[in-house]
Amino acid sequence: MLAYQKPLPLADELSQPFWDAARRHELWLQYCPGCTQFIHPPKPRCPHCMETVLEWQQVSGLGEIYTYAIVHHRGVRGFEDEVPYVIALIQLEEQGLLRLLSNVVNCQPSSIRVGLPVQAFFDDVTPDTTLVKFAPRDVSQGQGGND
Amino acid sequence: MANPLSDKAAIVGVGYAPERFSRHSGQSIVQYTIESCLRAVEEAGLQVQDIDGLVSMQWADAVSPSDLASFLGLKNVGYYSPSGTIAPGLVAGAAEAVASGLCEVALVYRSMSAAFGVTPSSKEQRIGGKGQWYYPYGLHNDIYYNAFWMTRYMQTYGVGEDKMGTIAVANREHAHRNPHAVFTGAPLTIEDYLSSRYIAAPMHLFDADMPVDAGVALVVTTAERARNLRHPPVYVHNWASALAGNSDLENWPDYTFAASKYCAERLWDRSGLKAQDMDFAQLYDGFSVLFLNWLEDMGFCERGEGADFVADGHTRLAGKVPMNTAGGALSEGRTHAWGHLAESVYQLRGQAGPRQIEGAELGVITGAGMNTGTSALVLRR
Repeated sequence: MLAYQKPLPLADELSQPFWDAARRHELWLQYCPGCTQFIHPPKPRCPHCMETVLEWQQVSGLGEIYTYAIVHHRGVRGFEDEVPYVIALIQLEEQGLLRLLSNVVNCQPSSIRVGLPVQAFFDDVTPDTTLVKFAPRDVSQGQGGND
Repeated sequence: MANPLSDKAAIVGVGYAPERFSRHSGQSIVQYTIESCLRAVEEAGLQVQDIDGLVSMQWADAVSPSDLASFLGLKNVGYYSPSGTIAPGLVAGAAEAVASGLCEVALVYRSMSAAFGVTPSSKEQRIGGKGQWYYPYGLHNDIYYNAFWMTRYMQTYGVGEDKMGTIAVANREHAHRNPHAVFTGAPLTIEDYLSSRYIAAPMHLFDADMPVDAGVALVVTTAERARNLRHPPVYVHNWASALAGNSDLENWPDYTFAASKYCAERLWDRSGLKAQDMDFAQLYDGFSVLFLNWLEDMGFCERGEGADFVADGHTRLAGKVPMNTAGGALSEGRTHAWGHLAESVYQLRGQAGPRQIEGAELGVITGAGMNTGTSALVLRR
């Protein structure tokens, strides 16, 4: 099997809990207990109240597409053979203005629209890295959740 | 609050090099930076040794003020720009510097090379910092994510690609009347636009500005000194900047507008002016959606009506408010708004030739936008 060519995240102090959770196939986000709000991407202090003692909480992975682009340009190593692919901002259902940037897969790019319900899944791209990606949700079955 | 420095400084010289922007000028960026600066000084009727202020945008492709001072043999520079802001804000900074006596004659310059912008993918596979949230998903530059604004805008207001494409088409029409433009003589129809390849759909090739070898320099001095120089002074009338304080793509509140909204509010509030007072506008168009954001954020038309405003011809030379009269970054070539500034000077002097807007007295020039910060400037004759 060919080695994985695409860019990989380099976790740091702030982001480590996110990537560790992804390895476990869970979606956890930084959370400020003071203003009871999620913060993403994670920050050294809560940008709303300057709190430094921040927590992490698990979220459902359910959301909808806020906006997106269908990339045709071959500009990123490892993605050359995947064009066109979809990059999107996913609005999560836990809170207003809580979005993740990711790929939307398992669907035709041309079938995607703003507002499309999606759910997270976990892609073990290498033995030590898991990416959080999204796929259209089958709303008729009313189910969702992680993995 | 009224601006106490309004009209205390003026733009008195303009220089371009190469004379026509080019994909392959065969010159180094240092060569045409020096050339454009010398032409601006000469055009103003000044001497190189009069220069005691150097202002430029210190991002990516750039010739620094300290290097330029050394190339031009300047020994008396009392003001030079810090990095960070963009074209209109840098002219404002130069105006503030001459008005306060930090320097008397400032060069405000920018050069870029066509090679810049062909951003290679990172050599490192592990990407840290903000990039860790983007690169692993195949998002590595601003061309891709500018399409986020297009998508959200188009689907919110029901605007099709046939309307979005008229921004690029209108700019190209104006470029034909500008001898400096890289695309003079290369027509662009809406059919050409629609059949062009996507970079990141819905963004087409022609929605992104054209990388060129280009240097543009302006000379700014005091209003008093300006009155005794070669050309009619173009006064630095009012300006504003705004940092939106929200630089995460994830947290931008609403992708139907950009940082331009906050800057426009400050500019109009501060100056007592409004969009409808402008005889022309040179709106930043590094990507066509940024032009659309400015058009609406400044109040030239209602939200959701920007694409129709352009399609209906209101931004053409004979329209309600002529815009990007030299072709803009999309069709003159990428100068990070220095071309917009230079064109405004020609318009206000009455020297824009076949592009001249009759009786132009007041115009607005804007910088980039997106989700960071930006600046805008009003010039007057």
